[in-house]
Amino acid sequence: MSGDEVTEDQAEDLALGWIDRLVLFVALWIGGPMLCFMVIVTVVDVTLRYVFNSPIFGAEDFSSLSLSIVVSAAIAYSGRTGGQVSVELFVNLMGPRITVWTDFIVRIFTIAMLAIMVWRLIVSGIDASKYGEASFALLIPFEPFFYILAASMFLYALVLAAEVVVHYKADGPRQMSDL
Amino acid sequence: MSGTLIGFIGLAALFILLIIRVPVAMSMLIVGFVGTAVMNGLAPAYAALSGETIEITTFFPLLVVPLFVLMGNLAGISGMSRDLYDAAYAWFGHFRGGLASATIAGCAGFAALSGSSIASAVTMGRVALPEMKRFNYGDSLATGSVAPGGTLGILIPPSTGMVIYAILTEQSIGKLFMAGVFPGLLLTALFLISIAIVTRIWPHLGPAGPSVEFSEKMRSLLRASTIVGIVVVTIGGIYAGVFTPVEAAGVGAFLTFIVALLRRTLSRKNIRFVVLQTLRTSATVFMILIGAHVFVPFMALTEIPSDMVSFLTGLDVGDLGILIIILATYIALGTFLEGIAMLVLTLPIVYPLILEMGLSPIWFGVIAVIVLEMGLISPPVGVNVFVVKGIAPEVPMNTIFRGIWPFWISMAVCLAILVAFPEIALFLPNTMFD
Repeated sequence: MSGDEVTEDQAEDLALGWIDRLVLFVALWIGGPMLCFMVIVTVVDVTLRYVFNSPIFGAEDFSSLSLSIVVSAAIAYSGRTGGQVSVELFVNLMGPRITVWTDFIVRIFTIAMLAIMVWRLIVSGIDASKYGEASFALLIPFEPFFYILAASMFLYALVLAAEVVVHYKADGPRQMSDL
Repeated sequence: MSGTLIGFIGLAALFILLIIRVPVAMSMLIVGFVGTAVMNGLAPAYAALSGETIEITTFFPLLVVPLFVLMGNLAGISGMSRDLYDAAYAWFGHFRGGLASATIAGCAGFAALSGSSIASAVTMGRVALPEMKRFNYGDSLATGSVAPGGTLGILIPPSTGMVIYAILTEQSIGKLFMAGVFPGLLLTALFLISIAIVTRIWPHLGPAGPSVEFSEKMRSLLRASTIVGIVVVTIGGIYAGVFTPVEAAGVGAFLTFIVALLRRTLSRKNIRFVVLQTLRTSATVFMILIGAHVFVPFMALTEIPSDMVSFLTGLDVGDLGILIIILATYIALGTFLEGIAMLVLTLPIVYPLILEMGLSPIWFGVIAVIVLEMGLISPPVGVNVFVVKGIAPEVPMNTIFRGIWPFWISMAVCLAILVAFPEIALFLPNTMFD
């Protein structure tokens, strides 16, 4: 292994290592517990309904807002581990020398779109607070959930930005090999 | 500039973005956002971005996605797939091609716990391929049976493909799940017939395995009964009106968790795998749905879908002719477009056409999923073929594709039967308890 390769790998680890740890932490420690919470709420609700004829009041609110957190915790992880569906055929025909540049453009486009989404989600969160938008039964305010979604899109943009930083490597950034 | 012209420019832009591998969800978001901004101004475009994002991610019926995916992943690590395969092996293994038949039967059983074709192919492939190798099965039949068998995952409920179709077309998820049951069983039977024909013509591809004593057959059935129990509770619960699909998914995930716990398969590593895999799949589905909900209204604004409906219904080919054109287009698109992407991108045009022709949207959901399955095993980008290649890297791609053809033909036959007899798909949805 040449000295240059070691330097490239170290640079890549620096840029991607911290983002990988952050993305994994968010997925495992926020997404995981919320997933369990959704299962528990659903099962308890069904049990209470059939056994005691008394379902949890506002169970649907709890579940739908938890769903929003689960999805928020998952987006960056999915993006980092290649979970976003794309059409591979044409790029395979182009070969790696072209795809390394098309991938760069793809990430820049996606970051731009995500930046707009983050901005609009924050604006909508402020509006939701102003107009008192809340869930149907428990009147849980929607405002924080707009911010959570904005944070999720921001994290996904950070993932792509880190991948752009290491983009100079001819074979593109390494995939997160957690799974 | 007319709406139609803007629409065609949007479609061209979408195509270019897809070519350079912008994720499908992001391509739809970009084109939908820019297109809406051009046609209606920035304010509605901004509103669509944040509005659809919060609406989709807090849409209660969509809880079925993470919950059923969780159930499938828990079933995968709990060893239930092994039980299914062993039971099918005990009953079919001594026939010619019996191990391939056991693989298909196992896939069909696992499909009732998993909504993903990839998960079904991976899980069953890891169990079945080494066995078929041990009994000197031909590589083409061995790998060729796993890839199509896995596709049953998105036809037999629960099914992520059905959920996406249901959300995009505002149909009942429960009815679509039920509509997939008999076609799923029909396709399973057609796959088994394909194996019987192939091994009759080329017996060396699937030699008979050793026969198993009756007591062992019954024991294997008993071990697999856990899965049957969970399927009866969840899918049966939806049919009987005991559970909504969300409740069935929650209860199913909980029961599968208990089974995994009792079998002591919930290691730290497995829990981590299950959580991450569930989140990854869920995020993929939700991002596509968010993208579709920004893109589809833009398409409607351009009036391209209504123009296409007028054009196609004006053709002098009759309803069956139009349906054949749609199916042929889907089959062609499926050879290079990922299945879910194909469904999401084409529904804005195809769905109004189906309604205009007076066809049942529930029935068409099943048809669309079967065509999507055909894409999953069609060269050159059949996703399930790559999954099988990942499990059996020593088998050349052309050998896998050679083994897949009989199953692909079975799917085409299944499509023809469902077009001729839509009641096969519609019987359960029409008789289920709402």
